[in-house]
Amino acid sequence: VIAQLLELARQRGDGGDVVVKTDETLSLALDEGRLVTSGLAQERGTNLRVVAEGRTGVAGTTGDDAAGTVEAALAAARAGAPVEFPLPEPNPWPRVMTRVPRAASATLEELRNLGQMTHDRLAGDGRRVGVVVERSVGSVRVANTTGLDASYEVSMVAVLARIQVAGSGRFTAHLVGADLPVAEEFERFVERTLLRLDWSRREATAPRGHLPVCFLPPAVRALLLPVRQSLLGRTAVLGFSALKDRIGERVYDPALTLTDDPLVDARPGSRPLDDEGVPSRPLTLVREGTVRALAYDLETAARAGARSTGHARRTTFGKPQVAFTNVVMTPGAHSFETLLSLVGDGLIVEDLPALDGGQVAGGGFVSPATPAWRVSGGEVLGRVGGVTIAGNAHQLLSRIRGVGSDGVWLGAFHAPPVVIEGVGVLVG
Amino acid sequence: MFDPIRDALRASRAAFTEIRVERAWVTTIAFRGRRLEAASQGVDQGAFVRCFAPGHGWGAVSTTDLDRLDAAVAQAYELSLAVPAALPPILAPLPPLQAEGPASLEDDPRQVPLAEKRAAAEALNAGLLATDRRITETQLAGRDEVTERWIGNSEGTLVRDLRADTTLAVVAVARDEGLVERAVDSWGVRGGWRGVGDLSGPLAAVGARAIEGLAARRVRPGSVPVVLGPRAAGAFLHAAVGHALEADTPDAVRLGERIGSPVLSVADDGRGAGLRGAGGWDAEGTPTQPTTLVQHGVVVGRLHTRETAARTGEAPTGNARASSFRHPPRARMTDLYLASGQGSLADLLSGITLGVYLGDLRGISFDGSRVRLAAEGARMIRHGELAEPVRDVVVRGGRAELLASLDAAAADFVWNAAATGCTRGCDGLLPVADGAPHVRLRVARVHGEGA
Repeated sequence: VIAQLLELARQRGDGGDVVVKTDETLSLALDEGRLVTSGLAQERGTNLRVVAEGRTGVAGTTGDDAAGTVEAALAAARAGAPVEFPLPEPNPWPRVMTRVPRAASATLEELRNLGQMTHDRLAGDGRRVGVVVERSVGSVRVANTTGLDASYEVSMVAVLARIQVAGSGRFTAHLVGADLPVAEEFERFVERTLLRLDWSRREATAPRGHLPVCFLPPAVRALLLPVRQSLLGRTAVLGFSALKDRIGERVYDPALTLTDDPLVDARPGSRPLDDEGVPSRPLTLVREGTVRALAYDLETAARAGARSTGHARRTTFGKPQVAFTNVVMTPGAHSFETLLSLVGDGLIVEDLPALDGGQVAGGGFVSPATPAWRVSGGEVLGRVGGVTIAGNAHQLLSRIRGVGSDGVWLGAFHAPPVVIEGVGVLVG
Repeated sequence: MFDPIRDALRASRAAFTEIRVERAWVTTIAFRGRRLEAASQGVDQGAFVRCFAPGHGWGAVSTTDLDRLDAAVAQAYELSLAVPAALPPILAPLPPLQAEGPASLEDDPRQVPLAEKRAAAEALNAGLLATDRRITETQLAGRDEVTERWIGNSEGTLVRDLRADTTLAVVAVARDEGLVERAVDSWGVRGGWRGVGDLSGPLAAVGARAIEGLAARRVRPGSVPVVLGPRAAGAFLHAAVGHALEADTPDAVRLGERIGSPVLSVADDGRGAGLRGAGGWDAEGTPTQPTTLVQHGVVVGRLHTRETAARTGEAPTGNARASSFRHPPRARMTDLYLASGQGSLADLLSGITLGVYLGDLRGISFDGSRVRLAAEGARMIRHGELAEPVRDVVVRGGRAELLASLDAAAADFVWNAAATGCTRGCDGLLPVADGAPHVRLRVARVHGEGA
């Protein structure tokens, strides 16, 4: 089908490129340690872009009608905006592990045992634990009319635990990677989760005002969303990036270093080339508080007068988008105990769900803190409810008091806990 | 498509098998300012198969390979065998149904060339930009989708449906002397572009609202009477009441439970012509129907799939919904509405010395107990009249206290024409509609939450 699509794109237009992705995901759901549902999702999707008279058009399909897909893409090109960029020539691409054979071949029984083990380690003390285990195997193939034709295979294993604690609410914990979790990684996951549950045994009074807050890795990921959005080429060419004109400028605290790394092995964003065929390479985005680079795909690079950094991501439908691969915040030097002493009297915040999506490049946000714990004298007093955090993420990240040494992978994002001072805390 | 479905069902060894096949034709167009950002087309096709072996739980397969439905059924059966029999599925009885929806659509978006859609979107966008020199940015996103869906099960049900869904969403950004304000709106219909109608007037109103917002001041926090416009009331109803009535939620309310004041009377109806949640059948092949859910503040009904109905001893309501073949059916709202009351908006405002009016909502969040309503188009209420616009208005409170505070509903019921989608459970975006009259909260906590 790929050869047919590209041949038709060459005949009917001026060329094009295509990405075909396959995925087979086995999902098991366990409740109280018992398997309650099992499902399999098989998908094959084709995203075609054609170039015609200086315009590009995109069409996608989960079917196999090559001629119809090319016609749809040509119609989109005729209606599309003019943009010109060269499609990548065939190039050598770097090596990176994207598929782990033992994960790809794990049986349903092995995955069920992983879910059972997760339940057994987290249950107890009246906790109701639901676990979902997913294992995906798939492939990515990118080809274009300049002769590029590359492919690689992927695997992914995800464990999601939902824990219901009477009187303390719900907690979730995730573990994601291309491999089955190794013992050390799994133990750290269990330890982190049980620690949060232990903090939640007691309730405490929520403080308010401008306080030091220790943001755990999920909240750090949320706080960095405005930074990440502002570092995307699309945001820059559309004119609402807060960082586009600040390359080389120290914008954040020197404790902040942020890298996009598609070449770290066995993470969800790992890949040897992007979905337009541009070879992958690590990209330093922020070094010691100074903005270093923005991420581009072919189109946004052409519009910005820059070069693609290999950050195109394509789904079956729609045009390619600029997206990060694996974003890594460099850990600092502080143990978690030291971070708590740096907080002194304040909060620990697990997540900021209102910063989970949408257009937040400006950095302003108001979000519930879920969950959050009171810290006093460097000790965790207990869980607090009804806490809202308000502020501007760009400004908060210039007031870092300490960065933890213990980074955690959250899917394709790696971060340590971070203490920030003067965080606006509302209650009620 | 009926023949491959019949063949695959016949080959199944399961106690019950269900197959849902979908083929969707999708077009999207997006403008940002005067620039066309995206114009694309696609065909999304696939099947969802689920079954259970005697004494075992569900096994499910979704696939984009429509040539191998029999293989998908066999895989689902094997997966079912892996699920122990502690709590085997039970389904509320339903007579087998054979029915077909329309063979063609009167207002079929597939018959409109993409270039024509682009031109229409471009003209609307240009009109919005021309509203005022202070409108400096716009975003306009149009989408149409035609879906053909076949559902069959091993009890003999075979139904086929064909439907269109069209949406348009806009953002207008106004700037003046360092101030920035934006206004958002959207429109959606169960149908094609003719059903959306002429939007030049409504788009101009979006631009005017953004301009008006430039002069708006932040609201002073406090506990005051709050009047919700029909759009705000409908969205509030969806988040704070509707989800608790979906029988598969762990937080589902009980029959006979009082959840609000006597003003609160709520129903769901999946049969409304042109409404986005409407259809002839749900994703299990159960005919859609009107379902009374809350009468004068007391729960009298809930929204069911066949499985939740059987587990609770209630009847299926035709609310098994799935956003695509990638997802299993779940108990979800179709088109939910709050019954009309008496009087007019003026009657609700009269007697309020100082209060806040929320025309629409920009966002709503509900964590299971507390609700946060972020306003779009908010105004002060002063001495019984709508007064100056205010910005960054957020109403927060416990669900129970807000619903108990509902003390009046006007007689001006309207269906919300917004392109509303429901994302509960992360199963994709389900098209829904909501409807309500103007309603009044006796008192609610209002905040000015600009970040």
